[in-house]
Amino acid sequence: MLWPDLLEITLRSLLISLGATVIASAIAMPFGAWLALSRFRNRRWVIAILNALMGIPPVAVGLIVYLSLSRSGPFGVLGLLFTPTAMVIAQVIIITPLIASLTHQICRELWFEYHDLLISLKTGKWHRARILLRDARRGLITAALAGFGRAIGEVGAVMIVGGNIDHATRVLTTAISLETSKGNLWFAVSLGGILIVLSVIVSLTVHGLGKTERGGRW
Amino acid sequence: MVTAQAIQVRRKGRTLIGHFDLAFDTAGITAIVGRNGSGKSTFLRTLHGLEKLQSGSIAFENEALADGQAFVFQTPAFLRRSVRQNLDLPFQVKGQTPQYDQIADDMQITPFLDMPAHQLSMGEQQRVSLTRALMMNPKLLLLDEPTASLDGTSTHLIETAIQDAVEHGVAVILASHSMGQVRRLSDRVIYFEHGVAHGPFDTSAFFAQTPQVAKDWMEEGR
Repeated sequence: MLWPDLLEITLRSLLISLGATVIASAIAMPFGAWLALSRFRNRRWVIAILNALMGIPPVAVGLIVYLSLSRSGPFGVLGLLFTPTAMVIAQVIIITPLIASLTHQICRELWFEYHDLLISLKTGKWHRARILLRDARRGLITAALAGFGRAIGEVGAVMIVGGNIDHATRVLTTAISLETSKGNLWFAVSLGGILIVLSVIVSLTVHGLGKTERGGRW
Repeated sequence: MVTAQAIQVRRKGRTLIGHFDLAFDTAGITAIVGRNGSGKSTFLRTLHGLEKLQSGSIAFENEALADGQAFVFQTPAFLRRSVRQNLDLPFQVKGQTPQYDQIADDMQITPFLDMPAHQLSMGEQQRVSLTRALMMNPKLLLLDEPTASLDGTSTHLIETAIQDAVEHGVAVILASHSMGQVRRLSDRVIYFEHGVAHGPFDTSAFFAQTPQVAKDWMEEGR
């Protein structure tokens, strides 16, 4: 494998997982905050199901997305199978419950603290959700990073829906799997090293931009 | 005028306040007194709409609960933000711009405006809390032991601010354990025991000829 190929795979891994994390966060964080604020029948069931979905097997998700996007599937007409978009879809499905569940737990703790004040000030539900998401942003950055970590390290689902096609859908994890099966263990280990470094760099960058752990006031 | 009819508040099978009628004129300062756990705070919270009634009804001037009201909690409640941002909050909710230069000076909180609210001392936090409540121009100000565990300076500032508010026509209901404070500030007293309200009593009459129901409690305080 050449350096340009390696760079291409690394960038593709990064873009697909970052894209999936952004989309999943946009869905999961408002949902998690809403769940923390709302009281409705069967709420406990919704939370239990959400927590259970955190551990959803990625291979099963890959299979479901594969069947949905295959020619005979309901979304086959879109022609997305074996494209990076299909890989993003699979990763979004895998990490959305994780981010939503963490968001719910973080916002629930904060809601206990803010409940009396925000009810007293007659804030609307939308306003409360905005306040919770803003004030819990440091915890939410960690939730998003947990989602990103799961997405970028994922291999089963992206292999099934992406197909590990060279110059099209090959990412670091599927490349590691391929090189291991070919017996190129040292190369596979090197790719694993790149994956770890990439994950750490993203985490440090996000924490740096989010100014987490600065001040340490609360 | 506050009117409560056959109200009951229960939590986890326990009656916190219940089964009494109460009506009192709110002009000036009404003190709510009684032992710990007698229902003082629950009554204030119910009047403000923070507790759900199991039965009965309660209203201030026949308005929806919390309309025209401001609440100062015993433990100051703040967002994890600066003092300024906490003072702005009620105005953000209404889409208005706050004006607090004068009141912040009066309450001696101007030096802390840009500090995180949680970093202030208890006395400073309670002054900020009362400032926020007064800035909302309430008709009814509910104070749940606002000077508990505060030093003399903070207590004096808060009591002065309460009296100023009353002079500007704000009705105040004050839960307090300080008999000196109740004597100094209040016009009438409502005594709570085992979740039931007794009164209202004229403050001077309450201390001169303590009603039978409150006698044991008054004796304990001496």
